[in-house]
Amino acid sequence: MSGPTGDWHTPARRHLRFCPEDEWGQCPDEPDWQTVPIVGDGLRLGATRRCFRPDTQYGGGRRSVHLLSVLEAAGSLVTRPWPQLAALLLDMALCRTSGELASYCMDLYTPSASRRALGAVAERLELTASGRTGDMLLSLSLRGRSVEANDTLAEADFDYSAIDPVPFRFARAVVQLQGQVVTGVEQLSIRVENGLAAGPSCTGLIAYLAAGQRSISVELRKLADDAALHEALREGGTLSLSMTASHPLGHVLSLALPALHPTSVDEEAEPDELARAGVNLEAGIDEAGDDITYELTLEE
Amino acid sequence: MSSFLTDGRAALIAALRSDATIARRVRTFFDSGPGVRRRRTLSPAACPVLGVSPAGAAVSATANVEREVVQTLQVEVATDGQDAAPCEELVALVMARVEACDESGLGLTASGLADVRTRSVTWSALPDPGAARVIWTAGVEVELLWRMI
Repeated sequence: MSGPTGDWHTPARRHLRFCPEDEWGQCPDEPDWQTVPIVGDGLRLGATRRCFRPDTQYGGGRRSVHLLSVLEAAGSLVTRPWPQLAALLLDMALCRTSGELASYCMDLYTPSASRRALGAVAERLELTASGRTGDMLLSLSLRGRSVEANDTLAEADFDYSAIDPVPFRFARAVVQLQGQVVTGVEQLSIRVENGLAAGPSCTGLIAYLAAGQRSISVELRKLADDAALHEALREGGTLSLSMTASHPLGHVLSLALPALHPTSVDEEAEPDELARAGVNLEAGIDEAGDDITYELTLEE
Repeated sequence: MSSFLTDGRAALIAALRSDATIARRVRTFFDSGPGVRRRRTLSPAACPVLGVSPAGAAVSATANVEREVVQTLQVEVATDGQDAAPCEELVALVMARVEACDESGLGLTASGLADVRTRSVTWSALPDPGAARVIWTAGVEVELLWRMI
Protein backbone atom coordinates (compact mmCIF):
# COMPACT_ATOMS: atom_id res chain seq x y z
CA MET A 1 0.00 0.00 0.00
CA SER A 2 1.65 3.19 -1.14
CA GLY A 3 -1.39 5.45 -0.79
CA PRO A 4 -2.44 7.51 2.20
CA THR A 5 -4.04 5.76 5.12
CA GLY A 6 -7.33 6.64 6.79
CA ASP A 7 -10.63 7.74 5.26
CA TRP A 8 -9.25 10.01 2.58
CA HIS A 9 -11.82 11.03 0.03
CA THR A 10 -12.72 13.33 -2.82
CA PRO A 11 -15.32 16.14 -2.60
CA ALA A 12 -17.78 13.99 -4.52
CA ARG A 13 -18.19 11.96 -1.34
CA ARG A 14 -19.13 14.92 0.85
CA HIS A 15 -22.84 15.61 1.21
CA LEU A 16 -25.08 18.07 2.99
CA ARG A 17 -28.70 17.91 3.98
CA PHE A 18 -30.71 20.08 6.26
CA CYS A 19 -34.17 20.52 7.72
CA PRO A 20 -35.92 23.28 9.63
CA GLU A 21 -36.06 22.91 13.39
CA ASP A 22 -39.19 23.37 15.47
CA GLU A 23 -37.15 24.18 18.51
CA TRP A 24 -33.77 25.88 18.35
CA GLY A 25 -30.93 23.39 18.57
CA GLN A 26 -33.18 20.30 18.44
CA CYS A 27 -33.47 18.02 15.43
CA PRO A 28 -37.18 17.31 14.81
CA ASP A 29 -38.49 13.82 15.46
CA GLU A 30 -39.60 13.53 11.85
CA PRO A 31 -37.16 15.70 9.92
CA ASP A 32 -38.03 16.89 6.42
CA TRP A 33 -34.55 16.59 4.89
CA GLN A 34 -33.50 18.55 1.87
CA THR A 35 -30.23 17.57 0.22
CA VAL A 36 -28.20 20.50 -1.09
CA PRO A 37 -25.37 20.26 -3.65
CA ILE A 38 -22.15 21.98 -2.58
CA VAL A 39 -20.56 24.14 -5.27
CA GLY A 40 -16.77 24.03 -5.44
CA ASP A 41 -15.05 24.01 -2.08
CA GLY A 42 -18.20 25.61 -0.74
CA LEU A 43 -18.90 24.00 2.60
CA ARG A 44 -17.03 24.94 5.73
CA LEU A 45 -19.18 23.91 8.63
CA GLY A 46 -17.82 22.79 11.94
CA ALA A 47 -17.25 23.58 15.56
CA THR A 48 -15.46 26.65 16.80
CA ARG A 49 -14.60 27.35 20.40
CA ARG A 50 -13.84 30.68 21.93
CA CYS A 51 -10.70 30.72 23.95
CA PHE A 52 -9.94 33.03 26.86
CA ARG A 53 -6.31 34.05 27.23
CA PRO A 54 -5.66 36.36 30.17
CA ASP A 55 -3.48 39.28 29.29
CA THR A 56 -0.89 38.64 31.97
CA GLN A 57 2.60 37.37 32.09
CA TYR A 58 1.54 34.70 34.54
CA GLY A 59 3.65 31.63 33.95
CA GLY A 60 6.47 33.51 32.30
CA GLY A 61 7.43 32.80 28.72
CA ARG A 62 4.94 30.03 28.27
CA ARG A 63 1.22 30.62 28.30
CA SER A 64 -0.01 28.47 31.13
CA VAL A 65 -3.53 29.86 31.42
CA HIS A 66 -5.72 29.00 28.49
CA LEU A 67 -9.44 28.70 29.13
CA LEU A 68 -11.66 27.14 26.53
CA SER A 69 -15.17 28.49 26.81
CA VAL A 70 -18.19 28.51 24.50
CA LEU A 71 -18.66 25.99 21.71
CA GLU A 72 -20.40 27.22 18.57
CA ALA A 73 -21.16 25.94 15.12
CA ALA A 74 -19.99 28.19 12.31
CA GLY A 75 -19.29 27.96 8.66
CA SER A 76 -20.34 28.77 5.15
CA LEU A 77 -22.15 27.18 2.27
CA VAL A 78 -21.97 27.96 -1.43
CA THR A 79 -24.61 26.52 -3.70
CA ARG A 80 -26.75 27.47 -6.68
CA PRO A 81 -30.41 28.50 -6.85
CA TRP A 82 -31.77 25.22 -8.14
CA PRO A 83 -35.53 25.64 -8.56
CA GLN A 84 -36.42 23.19 -5.80
CA LEU A 85 -33.94 24.78 -3.37
CA ALA A 86 -34.22 28.50 -4.06
CA ALA A 87 -37.14 29.17 -1.70
CA LEU A 88 -35.59 27.20 1.15
CA LEU A 89 -32.25 28.98 0.82
CA LEU A 90 -33.75 32.46 0.50
CA ASP A 91 -36.12 31.84 3.40
CA MET A 92 -33.17 30.93 5.60
CA ALA A 93 -31.95 34.52 5.43
CA LEU A 94 -35.05 36.53 4.56
CA CYS A 95 -38.00 34.96 6.33
CA ARG A 96 -38.64 36.00 9.90
CA THR A 97 -41.37 34.90 12.28
CA SER A 98 -41.94 37.29 15.16
CA GLY A 99 -38.64 38.91 14.27
CA GLU A 100 -36.66 35.68 14.48
CA LEU A 101 -35.02 33.64 11.76
CA ALA A 102 -35.71 29.94 11.38
CA SER A 103 -33.02 27.56 12.55
CA TYR A 104 -31.86 24.41 10.83
CA CYS A 105 -30.41 21.04 11.62
CA MET A 106 -27.60 20.26 9.17
CA ASP A 107 -26.03 16.90 8.49
CA LEU A 108 -22.66 16.88 6.80
CA TYR A 109 -21.48 13.50 5.60
CA THR A 110 -17.82 12.88 4.97
CA PRO A 111 -16.21 9.46 5.00
CA SER A 112 -13.82 10.67 7.69
CA ALA A 113 -15.84 12.87 10.08
CA SER A 114 -19.61 13.00 9.62
CA ARG A 115 -21.26 15.53 11.86
CA ARG A 116 -24.50 17.29 12.69
CA ALA A 117 -24.79 21.03 13.29
CA LEU A 118 -27.78 22.08 15.36
CA GLY A 119 -29.49 25.42 15.59
CA ALA A 120 -27.87 26.79 12.42
CA VAL A 121 -29.05 30.29 11.49
CA ALA A 122 -28.17 32.37 8.44
CA GLU A 123 -25.95 35.23 9.51
CA ARG A 124 -25.43 36.44 5.95
CA LEU A 125 -26.70 35.62 2.49
CA GLU A 126 -25.09 36.79 -0.70
CA LEU A 127 -26.56 36.25 -4.12
CA THR A 128 -23.98 36.80 -6.82
CA ALA A 129 -24.96 36.93 -10.46
CA SER A 130 -22.26 37.08 -13.09
CA GLY A 131 -22.86 38.21 -16.63
CA ARG A 132 -19.56 36.68 -17.68
CA THR A 133 -20.42 33.10 -16.68
CA GLY A 134 -24.20 33.55 -16.81
CA ASP A 135 -24.47 31.80 -13.45
CA MET A 136 -25.83 32.69 -10.05
CA LEU A 137 -24.41 31.59 -6.71
CA LEU A 138 -25.92 31.66 -3.26
CA SER A 139 -23.45 31.96 -0.41
CA LEU A 140 -24.59 31.58 3.17
CA SER A 141 -22.66 32.34 6.28
CA LEU A 142 -24.00 30.27 9.16
CA ARG A 143 -23.79 30.22 12.91
CA GLY A 144 -25.28 27.54 15.09
CA ARG A 145 -25.63 26.24 18.60
CA SER A 146 -23.58 23.08 18.56
CA VAL A 147 -21.90 20.40 16.50
CA GLU A 148 -21.89 16.75 17.32
CA ALA A 149 -20.56 13.62 15.62
CA ASN A 150 -23.11 11.76 13.56
CA ASP A 151 -21.82 8.31 12.73
CA THR A 152 -25.24 7.06 11.66
CA LEU A 153 -25.02 8.94 8.33
CA ALA A 154 -24.40 7.06 5.11
CA GLU A 155 -23.98 8.26 1.52
CA ALA A 156 -27.25 6.55 0.64
CA ASP A 157 -29.08 9.05 2.89
CA PHE A 158 -28.49 11.81 0.35
CA ASP A 159 -30.89 11.88 -2.55
CA TYR A 160 -30.60 14.52 -5.27
CA SER A 161 -33.25 13.09 -7.61
CA ALA A 162 -35.86 15.74 -6.81
CA ILE A 163 -33.63 18.59 -8.02
CA ASP A 164 -33.80 19.78 -11.63
CA PRO A 165 -30.24 19.61 -13.00
CA VAL A 166 -30.35 23.15 -14.41
CA PRO A 167 -30.42 25.95 -11.82
CA PHE A 168 -31.76 29.46 -12.32
CA ARG A 169 -29.19 31.31 -14.40
CA PHE A 170 -28.34 34.97 -14.75
CA ALA A 171 -28.07 34.40 -18.49
CA ARG A 172 -31.87 34.13 -18.52
CA ALA A 173 -32.53 36.97 -16.09
CA VAL A 174 -33.86 40.45 -16.70
CA VAL A 175 -32.71 43.26 -14.42
CA GLN A 176 -34.87 46.34 -14.09
CA LEU A 177 -33.97 49.64 -12.49
CA GLN A 178 -36.89 51.99 -11.87
CA GLY A 179 -39.00 49.73 -14.05
CA GLN A 180 -36.63 50.06 -17.02
CA VAL A 181 -34.74 47.05 -18.33
CA VAL A 182 -31.01 47.46 -17.76
CA THR A 183 -28.74 45.96 -20.37
CA GLY A 184 -25.03 45.42 -19.98
CA VAL A 185 -25.13 44.21 -16.38
CA GLU A 186 -21.87 42.40 -15.72
CA GLN A 187 -22.22 41.68 -12.05
CA LEU A 188 -24.98 41.94 -9.50
CA SER A 189 -24.51 41.12 -5.84
CA ILE A 190 -27.21 41.31 -3.21
CA ARG A 191 -25.96 40.92 0.32
CA VAL A 192 -28.20 40.46 3.35
CA GLU A 193 -26.66 40.79 6.82
CA ASN A 194 -28.88 39.60 9.62
CA GLY A 195 -26.88 41.11 12.48
CA LEU A 196 -26.93 38.00 14.66
CA ALA A 197 -26.17 38.44 18.32
CA ALA A 198 -24.97 35.41 20.23
CA GLY A 199 -25.92 34.95 23.85
CA PRO A 200 -23.53 34.20 26.69
CA SER A 201 -22.31 30.78 27.66
CA CYS A 202 -24.95 28.49 29.04
CA THR A 203 -23.54 25.11 30.04
CA GLY A 204 -20.77 25.50 27.51
CA LEU A 205 -23.02 26.46 24.59
CA ILE A 206 -24.35 29.83 23.50
CA ALA A 207 -27.63 30.67 25.16
CA TYR A 208 -29.29 32.16 22.07
CA LEU A 209 -28.75 33.53 18.59
CA ALA A 210 -30.91 36.59 18.14
CA ALA A 211 -31.51 38.15 14.74
CA GLY A 212 -30.81 41.87 14.73
CA GLN A 213 -31.69 44.62 12.32
CA ARG A 214 -30.86 43.43 8.88
CA SER A 215 -28.94 45.46 6.37
CA ILE A 216 -29.10 44.84 2.67
CA SER A 217 -26.55 46.14 0.23
CA VAL A 218 -26.39 45.82 -3.53
CA GLU A 219 -23.45 46.09 -5.88
CA LEU A 220 -24.21 46.54 -9.54
CA ARG A 221 -21.57 46.68 -12.25
CA LYS A 222 -22.83 47.74 -15.61
CA LEU A 223 -21.93 49.73 -18.67
CA ALA A 224 -21.84 53.44 -17.93
CA ASP A 225 -24.62 54.22 -20.37
CA ASP A 226 -26.95 56.67 -18.62
CA ALA A 227 -27.15 59.34 -15.92
CA ALA A 228 -29.99 57.88 -13.85
CA LEU A 229 -27.76 56.54 -11.09
CA HIS A 230 -25.75 59.76 -10.85
CA GLU A 231 -28.95 61.79 -10.63
CA ALA A 232 -30.43 59.52 -7.96
CA LEU A 233 -27.20 59.79 -5.98
CA ARG A 234 -27.07 63.60 -6.23
CA GLU A 235 -30.73 64.05 -5.39
CA GLY A 236 -30.70 61.53 -2.55
CA GLY A 237 -33.63 59.68 -3.99
CA THR A 238 -34.44 56.00 -4.06
CA LEU A 239 -34.44 53.51 -6.89
CA SER A 240 -36.25 50.25 -7.28
CA LEU A 241 -34.40 47.23 -8.60
CA SER A 242 -35.75 43.87 -9.62
CA MET A 243 -34.37 40.73 -11.18
CA THR A 244 -36.54 38.12 -12.82
CA ALA A 245 -34.91 34.84 -13.77
CA SER A 246 -36.81 32.51 -16.07
CA HIS A 247 -36.10 28.81 -16.21
CA PRO A 248 -36.52 26.86 -19.46
CA LEU A 249 -38.86 24.47 -17.62
CA GLY A 250 -41.20 27.35 -16.81
CA HIS A 251 -40.09 28.19 -13.26
CA VAL A 252 -39.73 31.89 -12.46
CA LEU A 253 -37.76 33.53 -9.65
CA SER A 254 -38.27 37.25 -9.02
CA LEU A 255 -36.42 39.38 -6.50
CA ALA A 256 -37.36 42.97 -5.81
CA LEU A 257 -35.74 45.71 -3.76
CA PRO A 258 -38.25 48.54 -3.89
CA ALA A 259 -36.31 51.34 -2.19
CA LEU A 260 -32.58 51.45 -2.78
CA HIS A 261 -30.41 54.43 -1.83
CA PRO A 262 -27.37 54.86 -4.08
CA THR A 263 -24.33 55.56 -1.94
CA SER A 264 -21.59 55.74 -4.54
CA VAL A 265 -20.99 55.38 -8.24
CA ASP A 266 -17.47 54.42 -9.25
CA GLU A 267 -16.63 54.63 -12.90
CA GLU A 268 -13.95 52.70 -14.74
CA ALA A 269 -12.74 53.97 -18.06
CA GLU A 270 -9.76 51.99 -19.29
CA PRO A 271 -8.47 53.36 -22.61
CA ASP A 272 -9.20 50.20 -24.55
CA GLU A 273 -12.46 49.16 -22.90
CA LEU A 274 -16.03 50.38 -22.64
CA ALA A 275 -16.65 52.64 -19.65
CA ARG A 276 -18.34 50.91 -16.76
CA ALA A 277 -20.14 52.04 -13.65
CA GLY A 278 -19.92 50.26 -10.32
CA VAL A 279 -22.86 51.26 -8.19
CA ASN A 280 -23.27 50.65 -4.48
CA LEU A 281 -26.75 50.82 -3.05
CA GLU A 282 -28.31 50.27 0.35
CA ALA A 283 -31.85 49.08 0.85
CA GLY A 284 -34.44 51.07 2.69
CA ILE A 285 -38.11 50.23 2.94
CA ASP A 286 -41.05 51.28 0.80
CA GLU A 287 -44.54 52.36 1.95
CA ALA A 288 -45.47 48.72 2.50
CA GLY A 289 -42.48 48.24 4.79
CA ASP A 290 -40.62 45.95 2.40
CA ASP A 291 -36.88 46.08 1.91
CA ILE A 292 -36.58 42.92 -0.17
CA THR A 293 -39.18 40.51 -1.45
CA TYR A 294 -39.02 37.45 -3.62
CA GLU A 295 -41.49 35.31 -5.49
CA LEU A 296 -40.92 31.83 -6.81
CA THR A 297 -43.24 30.07 -9.19
CA LEU A 298 -42.53 26.41 -9.79
CA GLU A 299 -43.96 24.76 -12.86
CA GLU A 300 -45.30 21.30 -12.07
CA MET B 1 -31.18 4.17 -25.36
CA SER B 2 -29.25 7.15 -26.67
CA SER B 3 -26.76 9.15 -24.66
CA PHE B 4 -27.22 12.79 -23.80
CA LEU B 5 -24.45 13.60 -26.28
CA THR B 6 -26.39 11.98 -29.11
CA ASP B 7 -29.61 13.63 -27.92
CA GLY B 8 -27.89 17.01 -28.00
CA ARG B 9 -26.50 16.56 -31.49
CA ALA B 10 -29.79 15.19 -32.83
CA ALA B 11 -31.72 18.08 -31.28
CA LEU B 12 -29.40 20.65 -32.84
CA ILE B 13 -29.69 18.99 -36.25
CA ALA B 14 -33.47 18.91 -35.93
CA ALA B 15 -33.50 22.59 -34.96
CA LEU B 16 -31.36 23.56 -37.95
CA ARG B 17 -33.41 21.41 -40.33
CA SER B 18 -36.67 22.85 -39.03
CA ASP B 19 -35.61 26.41 -39.82
CA ALA B 20 -37.42 27.17 -43.06
CA THR B 21 -34.88 29.74 -44.24
CA ILE B 22 -31.93 27.44 -43.67
CA ALA B 23 -33.76 24.48 -45.23
CA ARG B 24 -34.56 26.56 -48.33
CA ARG B 25 -30.92 27.51 -48.84
CA VAL B 26 -29.24 24.16 -48.12
CA ARG B 27 -29.09 21.52 -50.82
CA THR B 28 -27.28 18.79 -48.87
CA PHE B 29 -27.44 17.96 -45.16
CA PHE B 30 -24.79 15.75 -43.55
CA ASP B 31 -25.99 14.71 -40.13
CA SER B 32 -23.57 11.90 -39.15
CA GLY B 33 -26.67 9.78 -38.48
CA PRO B 34 -27.41 6.07 -39.00
CA GLY B 35 -28.28 4.37 -42.29
CA VAL B 36 -26.48 3.84 -45.56
CA ARG B 37 -23.02 5.30 -45.50
CA ARG B 38 -22.80 8.50 -47.45
CA ARG B 39 -19.44 9.84 -48.41
CA ARG B 40 -18.93 13.28 -47.10
CA THR B 41 -17.48 14.82 -50.19
CA LEU B 42 -17.51 18.48 -50.92
CA SER B 43 -18.40 18.95 -54.55
CA PRO B 44 -19.80 22.09 -56.18
CA ALA B 45 -22.90 20.11 -57.12
CA ALA B 46 -23.67 19.30 -53.46
CA CYS B 47 -23.43 22.93 -52.33
CA PRO B 48 -24.75 24.64 -50.32
CA VAL B 49 -23.88 22.02 -47.71
CA LEU B 50 -24.61 21.97 -44.00
CA GLY B 51 -23.23 19.25 -41.75
CA VAL B 52 -23.18 18.64 -38.03
CA SER B 53 -20.60 16.40 -36.42
CA PRO B 54 -19.25 15.76 -32.92
CA ALA B 55 -16.08 17.75 -32.23
CA GLY B 56 -15.27 17.26 -28.58
CA ALA B 57 -16.35 17.27 -24.97
CA ALA B 58 -14.82 18.58 -21.76
CA VAL B 59 -15.87 17.52 -18.30
CA SER B 60 -15.30 19.36 -15.04
CA ALA B 61 -16.57 18.84 -11.53
CA THR B 62 -18.32 22.00 -10.38
CA ALA B 63 -20.02 20.75 -7.23
CA ASN B 64 -19.85 17.65 -5.09
CA VAL B 65 -22.52 15.95 -7.19
CA GLU B 66 -22.59 18.21 -10.25
CA ARG B 67 -20.57 17.70 -13.41
CA GLU B 68 -20.38 20.29 -16.14
CA VAL B 69 -20.01 18.78 -19.59
CA VAL B 70 -19.23 21.09 -22.48
CA GLN B 71 -20.17 19.26 -25.68
CA THR B 72 -18.72 20.79 -28.82
CA LEU B 73 -20.40 20.27 -32.15
CA GLN B 74 -18.99 21.39 -35.46
CA VAL B 75 -21.54 22.85 -37.84
CA GLU B 76 -19.91 22.92 -41.25
CA VAL B 77 -21.22 25.16 -43.97
CA ALA B 78 -19.99 25.14 -47.57
CA THR B 79 -21.03 27.22 -50.56
CA ASP B 80 -19.77 27.10 -54.11
CA GLY B 81 -18.12 30.08 -55.80
CA GLN B 82 -15.67 32.85 -55.01
CA ASP B 83 -18.35 35.06 -53.46
CA ALA B 84 -18.12 34.49 -49.69
CA ALA B 85 -21.41 36.27 -49.00
CA PRO B 86 -23.70 33.20 -49.39
CA CYS B 87 -21.50 31.32 -46.92
CA GLU B 88 -21.56 34.24 -44.49
CA GLU B 89 -25.32 34.54 -44.81
CA LEU B 90 -25.77 30.84 -44.06
CA VAL B 91 -23.44 31.09 -41.06
CA ALA B 92 -25.41 34.09 -39.77
CA LEU B 93 -28.61 32.07 -40.06
CA VAL B 94 -27.01 29.18 -38.17
CA MET B 95 -25.83 31.54 -35.42
CA ALA B 96 -29.30 33.07 -35.10
CA ARG B 97 -30.84 29.62 -34.93
CA VAL B 98 -28.37 28.55 -32.25
CA GLU B 99 -29.29 31.62 -30.22
CA ALA B 100 -32.96 30.71 -30.54
CA CYS B 101 -32.09 27.16 -29.43
CA ASP B 102 -30.65 28.62 -26.24
CA GLU B 103 -34.02 30.16 -25.44
CA SER B 104 -35.81 26.84 -25.83
CA GLY B 105 -33.05 24.73 -24.33
CA LEU B 106 -33.58 22.42 -27.31
CA GLY B 107 -36.24 20.73 -25.20
CA LEU B 108 -33.49 19.06 -23.17
CA THR B 109 -33.43 21.20 -20.02
CA ALA B 110 -34.89 18.39 -17.92
CA SER B 111 -31.92 16.27 -19.01
CA GLY B 112 -29.51 19.00 -17.90
CA LEU B 113 -28.92 21.15 -20.99
CA ALA B 114 -28.27 24.62 -19.54
CA ASP B 115 -26.83 26.64 -22.39
CA VAL B 116 -26.41 26.55 -26.17
CA ARG B 117 -23.97 29.02 -27.71
CA THR B 118 -21.80 29.69 -30.72
CA ARG B 119 -18.17 29.65 -29.63
CA SER B 120 -16.33 30.54 -32.82
CA VAL B 121 -16.43 30.53 -36.61
CA THR B 122 -13.54 29.85 -38.95
CA TRP B 123 -13.56 30.28 -42.71
CA SER B 124 -11.42 28.81 -45.40
CA ALA B 125 -11.51 28.54 -49.18
CA LEU B 126 -11.04 25.10 -50.75
CA PRO B 127 -8.94 23.78 -52.32
CA ASP B 128 -7.02 27.00 -51.73
CA PRO B 129 -7.81 30.72 -51.99
CA GLY B 130 -5.89 31.00 -55.27
CA ALA B 131 -7.63 28.14 -57.04
CA ALA B 132 -9.56 28.68 -60.25
CA ARG B 133 -12.79 27.71 -58.56
CA VAL B 134 -13.23 27.76 -54.82
CA ILE B 135 -15.71 26.45 -52.29
CA TRP B 136 -16.06 28.60 -49.21
CA THR B 137 -16.32 26.54 -46.05
CA ALA B 138 -17.08 27.71 -42.54
CA GLY B 139 -16.79 25.76 -39.32
CA VAL B 140 -19.20 27.01 -36.67
CA GLU B 141 -18.23 25.68 -33.27
CA VAL B 142 -21.37 25.26 -31.17
CA GLU B 143 -21.15 24.45 -27.48
CA LEU B 144 -23.83 22.68 -25.51
CA LEU B 145 -23.37 23.16 -21.77
CA TRP B 146 -24.75 20.26 -19.76
CA ARG B 147 -25.22 20.29 -16.02
CA MET B 148 -25.51 16.78 -14.63
CA ILE B 149 -26.48 15.95 -11.06
